[in-house]
Amino acid sequence: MKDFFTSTKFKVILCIAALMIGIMIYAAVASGSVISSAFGTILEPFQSASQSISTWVTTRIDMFVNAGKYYEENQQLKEEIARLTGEMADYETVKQENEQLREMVSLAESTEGIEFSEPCKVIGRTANDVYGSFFIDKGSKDGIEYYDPVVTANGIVGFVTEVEYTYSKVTTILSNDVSLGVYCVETGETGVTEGSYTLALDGTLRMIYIQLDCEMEAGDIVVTSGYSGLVPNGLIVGTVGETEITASGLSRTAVITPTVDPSELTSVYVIVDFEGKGSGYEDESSE
Amino acid sequence: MKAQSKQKSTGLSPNFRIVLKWIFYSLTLIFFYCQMVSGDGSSAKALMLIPFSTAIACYEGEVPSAIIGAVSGILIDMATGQLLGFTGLYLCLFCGIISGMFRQFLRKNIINYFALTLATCLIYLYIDYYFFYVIWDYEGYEVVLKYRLIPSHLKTILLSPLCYLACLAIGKLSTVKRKLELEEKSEMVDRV
Repeated sequence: MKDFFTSTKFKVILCIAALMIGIMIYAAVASGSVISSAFGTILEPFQSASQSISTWVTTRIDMFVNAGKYYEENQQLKEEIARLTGEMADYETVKQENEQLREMVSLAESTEGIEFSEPCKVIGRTANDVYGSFFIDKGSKDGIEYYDPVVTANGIVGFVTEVEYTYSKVTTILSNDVSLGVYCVETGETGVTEGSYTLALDGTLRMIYIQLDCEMEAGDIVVTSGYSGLVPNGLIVGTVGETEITASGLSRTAVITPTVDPSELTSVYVIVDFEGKGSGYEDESSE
Repeated sequence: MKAQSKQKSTGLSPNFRIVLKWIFYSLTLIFFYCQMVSGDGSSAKALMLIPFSTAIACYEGEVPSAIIGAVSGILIDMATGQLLGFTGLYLCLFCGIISGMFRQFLRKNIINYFALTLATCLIYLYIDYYFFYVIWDYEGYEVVLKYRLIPSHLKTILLSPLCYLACLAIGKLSTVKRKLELEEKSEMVDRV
C-alpha cells in the first residue's frame, strides 16, 4: 500500500482530483461552465429522447392503471356537460363578468409589448429538486438570457437561471431563490412572494408583507406587479389560500397556489423581451 | 502446465472486447443520466451513477476508476443542479480508493461491493445534505432529507447489486479466457 502512495497512479488520481476542484471553483465563480455546456450539448439529444419515451410510457401505464377512474371521470363529465348545457341561459351574464375580470387583471394590456420565444420543450427535470426546476431545449443560440421569465398560457412558471448554448435551466417560482413583487387583482393589496421547502412539497408558495387590514379572500387572483423590471406586469401567479398574521404581528402572509404545476409541464414559453425590461435595476454594463 | 490465451468461440479479438466494454460503460453512464432527468420530477430519483462507478472500480484499475468516478460525478452534478465538480471530486477520490482496496485488500464479491457502495452513498448523503441544505439554514430544509434525499439513496442502495452484476457480466465477456494445457501435449517441448 505504501508503494501505491508513491506511484504514478496515485499522482494521476491527485491530478484528476485537482482538476475537479478547479472545475468546482470555476463553476462557483463563473455564470456558465464550458464543461456543463459541452456535456449538455452531447447529452441533450439523449435527454430529449429519454424524456419523450418516459412521457409516452407514463401515459400508457396511466391509461391502463387508471382506466376505471377515467371511466368514472368520463361519466361525471358527461353529467357536468348536461348541467352546463342547462346553464347556458346565464351565458351572457358570465361573459360580461368575464370581460370585467379581464379588464381588472389587465391581461389584454399586459401582453402588449411582450416578445415570446418559440415554444420550448421540457427536456428534463432536475433530479430530487423539491422546487421542480427543469431544463428546456432552447439556449443562448435562441436568444434566451439569464433571468428571462418563463410562462405558459395559465401564468408565470419561473425564471431562466442557467443558459447554455443549446439548453437552459428554469427555476420555478416555488424556489426560495425567487421572489416576485405581486398584487391582488381584486383588492390591490401588494406583497412579495417567497418559497420554502415545506410549502414546495405542497406545490404552494407564500405572499409576505401584506398589510394587516387587507381584504384578500381565498380564491382571489394574484398577479405580478412588474416593478422589478425582471417580469412584465399582470402575469398570473396564482390564487390566494389561507392568510395569517406573522409572528411579529406587523403584517400578514398568504399561501398562494400557483396556477401552473411545474411537474406536469411539457412545453413553456420564455419572455425574451418586454416593455420596461430591466427598468427596476441597474444594468451592470452601463456602469 | 502452461497457460495459453485462447479466444472464446465468438472469435472477438481482445482489443475489440475492451472497446466493447468501454462502449458499454459509456452508454450505461448516459442511460443512468437520462434516468435521473426524465420523468415527472415529483418523486425521488435513484442516483444509479454512484453504484455503477463503484462497480466499475471493482474491476478496473485505480486511474480508470477515478476518471469514471469524476465523469459520473459531473453528470450527477448536472442532473441534480449542484455545483459542478462537487460530486465529481467526491467520486473521483472514492472510486480511486475503492479500486485500490479491491486490488490490495479485498476479494471481489458482491458483499464487499455492497458494503463499500453503502458507505459511499451514506457519506455522500451526509455531505450533500450538509453542504447544500444544513449550512444555508433555509426554512424547512429538513423535509428535503425526508422526502427526497433518503428515498433517493434508499433506491440507489437497493438497486446497487444490479450494477455489480452488470459489471461482472461485462467483465467476464470482455476477458479473454485462459486455457490450461499439459506441457506433455505440446510438440514444442523437447523430451529426453
